[in-house]
Amino acid sequence: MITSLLLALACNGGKVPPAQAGVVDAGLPPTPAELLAQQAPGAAAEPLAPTDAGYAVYRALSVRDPEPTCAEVEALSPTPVETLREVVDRAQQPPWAGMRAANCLVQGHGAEVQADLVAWVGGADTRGLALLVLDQLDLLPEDVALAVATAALAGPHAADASARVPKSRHPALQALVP
Amino acid sequence: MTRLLRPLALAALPLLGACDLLDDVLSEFDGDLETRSFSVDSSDGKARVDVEIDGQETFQLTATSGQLVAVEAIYDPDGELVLYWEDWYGNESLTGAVWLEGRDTVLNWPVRSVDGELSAGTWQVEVGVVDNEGYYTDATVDAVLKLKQDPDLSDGVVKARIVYADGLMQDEVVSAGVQAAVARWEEVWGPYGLSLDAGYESSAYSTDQAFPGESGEHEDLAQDASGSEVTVLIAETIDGGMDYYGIAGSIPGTLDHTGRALVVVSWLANAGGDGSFSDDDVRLFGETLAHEVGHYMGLFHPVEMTWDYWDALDDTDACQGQGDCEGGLGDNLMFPYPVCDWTSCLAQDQLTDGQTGVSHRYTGTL
Ligand SMILES: [Zn+2]
Repeated sequence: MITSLLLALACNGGKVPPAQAGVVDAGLPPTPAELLAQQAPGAAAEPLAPTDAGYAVYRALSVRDPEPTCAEVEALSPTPVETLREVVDRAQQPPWAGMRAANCLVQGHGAEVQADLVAWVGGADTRGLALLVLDQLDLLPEDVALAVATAALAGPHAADASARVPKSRHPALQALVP
Repeated sequence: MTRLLRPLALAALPLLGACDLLDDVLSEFDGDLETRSFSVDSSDGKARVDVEIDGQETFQLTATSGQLVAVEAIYDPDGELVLYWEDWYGNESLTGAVWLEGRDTVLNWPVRSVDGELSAGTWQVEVGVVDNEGYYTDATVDAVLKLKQDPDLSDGVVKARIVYADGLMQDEVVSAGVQAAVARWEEVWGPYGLSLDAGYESSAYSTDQAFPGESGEHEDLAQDASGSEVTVLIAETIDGGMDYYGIAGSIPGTLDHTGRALVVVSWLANAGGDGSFSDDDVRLFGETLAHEVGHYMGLFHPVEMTWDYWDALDDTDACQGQGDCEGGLGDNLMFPYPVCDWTSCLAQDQLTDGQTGVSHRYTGTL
């Protein structure tokens, strides 16, 4: 009997085959702001217009499902770390675009962006980014994780950090919370 | 990953006789919803599940086995074939029940108005049973049938059981954000005759959640469900990060107590970098809840992002290409992504008549 292995091509609970999950549109839509302008005439404001690479990465990270991979979105920029930083810092909606960009920085560039991570866990208005980092400490190099956790425990999100740092597999981090 | 494993020789197998019922049918009633539970042995790789209809409007079959299962065909009481898996295996999606993706499968019937009404008599659902290598095999299939007796398919209530993962209900930012988003969800559904009856629970389940069905916690969670409600689990992260911010167990989702009987949503991904919910965040979060539960009720994206796969509905534009699709469907609740311009996003709160009809035919919409 012949066996056929095929991929279903509709979103099933957000879990989709890799062939489809990899689809991103690197090209910019013709005039994205026009659609919004139709809904709220005169409301368009672009104080922090994105770079082309930033906008391409932003669009890829904005999809509801299928979800993109970091490798796919980073391939859209010649300087992925800078572009991901741009999306984290400047993209306002949807909220998950910046969070996914931050996620890619944590998961793939922890050592390079250590200062950003320390700033996030220490910022009063960056609790979401702080939680994202604190939930993934074990994906960071241990020395980076130690520096980030130490800063978090001394910052405005110390209560959040106290609940999460002990879950690390690294004894040095566990020891930070007696 | 969603995979469809099909033996190509499937169509050559002969049809056999009536179903091999293993034991008595257990029947329970809960208002307009009847539940029947029984087991069937497959023969030549097919389990034939009889569905006795006497005035019910829709039924949902959840078939579970130790082997891989998928719906292959539905026959009406006259023996007419009304669904064949291969017809929904191309570039239009009608139901995830035909996809061989696990050890359970969920069918809601009818899906659309054009699928007709349930005539009285014995309907039969053929469930294919396949081993991990893709060959037909025989096994016992446990069937749970839910049957809805509710003649009004334009006005319905969906019960949502919103369960917070460990400690999240006590986080005021999270609980206030979720409740505001649920209010937006109700606002989106209201014009389409869909009401939400939401209840909230705290739990000790992990704040980092696996995909539906891939954690023992999901089976535990399902055991406490009433059988007529959709469970939405509010997590902090899914699969350890931010890749996913909302996932439905299947399309459609089951009303039975299986491990895929839930929608998982990340509050953190929906709150964003500041970890709080702005008005825009709340609106999008509410639309995400309505979108994911829409999948659970049987709705597909009207078009996938490859722009060459569509749902099975006639009144969702069969658009082609990004600009065409964003222009024609960008405000549709089930569009695959929000149409945004860096600082804000279009409201996505529209459903077509066809989509509304699918939602009302979901057996859990009472
Ligand atoms: Zn979707």
